[in-house]
Amino acid sequence: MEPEATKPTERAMPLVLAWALLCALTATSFGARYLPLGVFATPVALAIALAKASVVLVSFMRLRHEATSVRLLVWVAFGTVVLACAGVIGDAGFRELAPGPQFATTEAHGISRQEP
Amino acid sequence: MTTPALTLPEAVAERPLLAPPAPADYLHGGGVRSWLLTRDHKRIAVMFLGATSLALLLGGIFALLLRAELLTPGPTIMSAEAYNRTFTLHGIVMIFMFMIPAIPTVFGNFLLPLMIGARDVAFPRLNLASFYVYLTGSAITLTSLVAGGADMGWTFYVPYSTTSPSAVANVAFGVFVLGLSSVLTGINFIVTVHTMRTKGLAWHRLPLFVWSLYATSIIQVLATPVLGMSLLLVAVDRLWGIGIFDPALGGDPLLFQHLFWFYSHPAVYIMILPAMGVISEVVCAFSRNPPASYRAIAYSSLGIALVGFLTWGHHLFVAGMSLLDGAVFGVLSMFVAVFSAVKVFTWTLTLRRGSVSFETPMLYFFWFTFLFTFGGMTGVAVATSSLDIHWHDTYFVVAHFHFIMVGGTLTAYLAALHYWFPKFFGRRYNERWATIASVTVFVGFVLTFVPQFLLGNAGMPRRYYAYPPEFQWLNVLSSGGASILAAGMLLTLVGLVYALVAGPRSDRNPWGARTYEWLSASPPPTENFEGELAITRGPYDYHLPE
Amino acid sequence: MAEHFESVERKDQAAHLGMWLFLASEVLLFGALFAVYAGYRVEFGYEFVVASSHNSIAIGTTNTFVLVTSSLFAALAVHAARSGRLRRAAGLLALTIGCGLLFLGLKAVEYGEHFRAGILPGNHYHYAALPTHAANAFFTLYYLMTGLHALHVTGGMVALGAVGYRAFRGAYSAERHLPLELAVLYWHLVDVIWLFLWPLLYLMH
Repeated sequence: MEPEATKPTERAMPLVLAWALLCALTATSFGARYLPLGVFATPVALAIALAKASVVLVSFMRLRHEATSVRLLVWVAFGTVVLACAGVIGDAGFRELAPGPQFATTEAHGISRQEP
Repeated sequence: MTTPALTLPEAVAERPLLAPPAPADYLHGGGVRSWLLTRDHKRIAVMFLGATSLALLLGGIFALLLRAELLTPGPTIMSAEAYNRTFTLHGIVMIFMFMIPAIPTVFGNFLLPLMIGARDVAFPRLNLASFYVYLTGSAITLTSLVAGGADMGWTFYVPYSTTSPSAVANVAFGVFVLGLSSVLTGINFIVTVHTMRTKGLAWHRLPLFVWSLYATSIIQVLATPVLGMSLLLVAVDRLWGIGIFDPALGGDPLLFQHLFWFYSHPAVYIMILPAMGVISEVVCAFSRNPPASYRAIAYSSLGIALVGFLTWGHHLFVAGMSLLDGAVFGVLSMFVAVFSAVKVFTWTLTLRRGSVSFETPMLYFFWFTFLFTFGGMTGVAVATSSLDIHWHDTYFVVAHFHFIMVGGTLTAYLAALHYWFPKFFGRRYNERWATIASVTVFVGFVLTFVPQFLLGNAGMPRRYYAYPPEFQWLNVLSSGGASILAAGMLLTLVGLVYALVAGPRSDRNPWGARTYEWLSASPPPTENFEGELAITRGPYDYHLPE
Repeated sequence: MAEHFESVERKDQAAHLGMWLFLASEVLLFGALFAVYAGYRVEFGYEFVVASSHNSIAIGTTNTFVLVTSSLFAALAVHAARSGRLRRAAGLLALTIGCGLLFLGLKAVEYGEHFRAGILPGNHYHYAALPTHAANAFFTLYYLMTGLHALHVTGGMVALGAVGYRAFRGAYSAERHLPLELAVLYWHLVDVIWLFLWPLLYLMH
């Protein structure tokens, strides 16, 4: 790898533009909260978060300049988190016999679950 | 490139003040301080060898106490509370202090740089830090002994682990710290493989042990933090009553099990993958044959690492998990068997037309193949959720995972210990003695755990202190087997310690193996190789001159 | 320490890969909490989501802008260091740390409001307006996730302070400023995690 530090061509402007994009996406996400998106609210919010994370990774964290192994690693780490969440949702969202909250009868500190 | 190893007489090297100008090998030169602060991966490996051997000894003593207690249906030598604490510490010590770290930190540390022609691992200081983090974690874990022991089992299941009056927090925190050591080692190994390979060492020339370490390290880096977090949640709950999994607060204890097994299932591949790497090296060296398919073994390691992440739910079949997850995880679990079978068949085919010899490491190869195949097939059986409903939490499961962990990892560890003993210490062990010890270990093992399959199938639950009298004869058999196994381990220890002190000097490459670690002297000099090593052939090119 | 690498570039490459691996393990540390969040979200459903509207959207959103901006300063600091303007880099890192302090300050204000209302984690929870198990679980997770994140922010500020000080003292150069790059990478990760925490903990309704 050639040390790019000496190259005078690298500009600061793309970083500022990335920041502007991040701010715009944050505003979009904030605005989307007040739209009647129904069940799509969470997926939309997470998709925007993912877009913002990509901007930070590619622009600020200079992922383009990293080795292929690093780029692969980012995908693997992200995929692993998605996998953990998917496995948990596949259980928690589809239980026939739920030992979880529905069965909680003990009243702790005066808090009781409202009947479904 | 080969210069005969200059071996100083020990008498000279052991005089610390003399400070020989150029120590002949990594073992000599410098005092205790130079060992404790060393950044040499080989010295760190030897220190890990000492530490993990102590853990094995400790875990083994706990196992013998358990088997002694189970000789009779009622109380034998200890109370029920003591029994619970003993099996908990047996599991914790064996898994987190021996099985998970042992092969990577001892043999991985020692051999990875040698096998890729490097001077050291990528981050030598981090490597030393990993050792002290390991010691710290072990010490914290063992403080639970002073605090009266912990009785939640190695699985830390909530809500019992958050309500048990015993010293659960010590163990949880200790294992958290041990996990940190595991992550540090994993990071170090991955970076080492990526950046430290010497000239001419393309990925497809890496010895198979390196591939298995690489796959292991990926699991260590990605899965261990999840365990850390779940144990931290248990510890925090005990300290401050956070109760995130507490059913009394509407919490869901199954979520803990998901997190726990999200690590702990891949963790069994942390234990078995390096063992498979060892076995791959041993089978090639002692049949003087290249592997039947290099790529099959190398890629199936990565395959196991990948699929290992997709199977954790099979521990929750009877816990009330959804049928959807039950079906998905049941099917995915069986894919592990596909990759494992690829390995077993490839090893077996490697023997074909080889010039097979039966030194001790090769004996362990046979034990491994036999026991691992058995353990693996019972694994497919318990991955079938309809069968698992019967076997769950019985001795069948105990026997299954001991076949994989002891029959797999421990035999591979012993194979590695014998195979690389000349590399580590430059001495030969006594082959006949080691053969006797090896056979004793195998016989003891089979006798210990085959009765447990029968017990489990008959319905004896695991972790029970008392059992009906009709189970006694099988339990006595099992305890007898455990004694033979212990005797075999003791014989091994005596044989190796004797070899260390008075064994005959070894050649540089006593087995005629082709992997690159044998290109350096035995024991290797501190800087591993004279000058830079350039690789011009594959690691199993037995048709070429060395 | 570098002498066992074949070249300086190799050493930089190794350090970068090592740092990214560490970041990956950090992601999985948070990943465990995300998985718990996912589980409770589908188990409790609507009641869980309702609890999030009791968080201050104003503070959460402001904090998002604060962290994003801090990341810009940090990226500009690396840019400055790469062209050898170390004083400038140190100044930008000081701004980054300032943003971090502002973030933690707002977080403290939010925690304070919650404490006064009785929104506490686990079995200390006694928020009269929302006496449900779902809300209890939500806020316990809220404290765990934001608390762990705040610890990371603090750690990141310490790291940035250390490299910023060394940059100010001129310990780096346009070619050699690896610790600065690594510390900034860590800071960006802290930002990325917040980008996911913010919608999950503040925007659901």
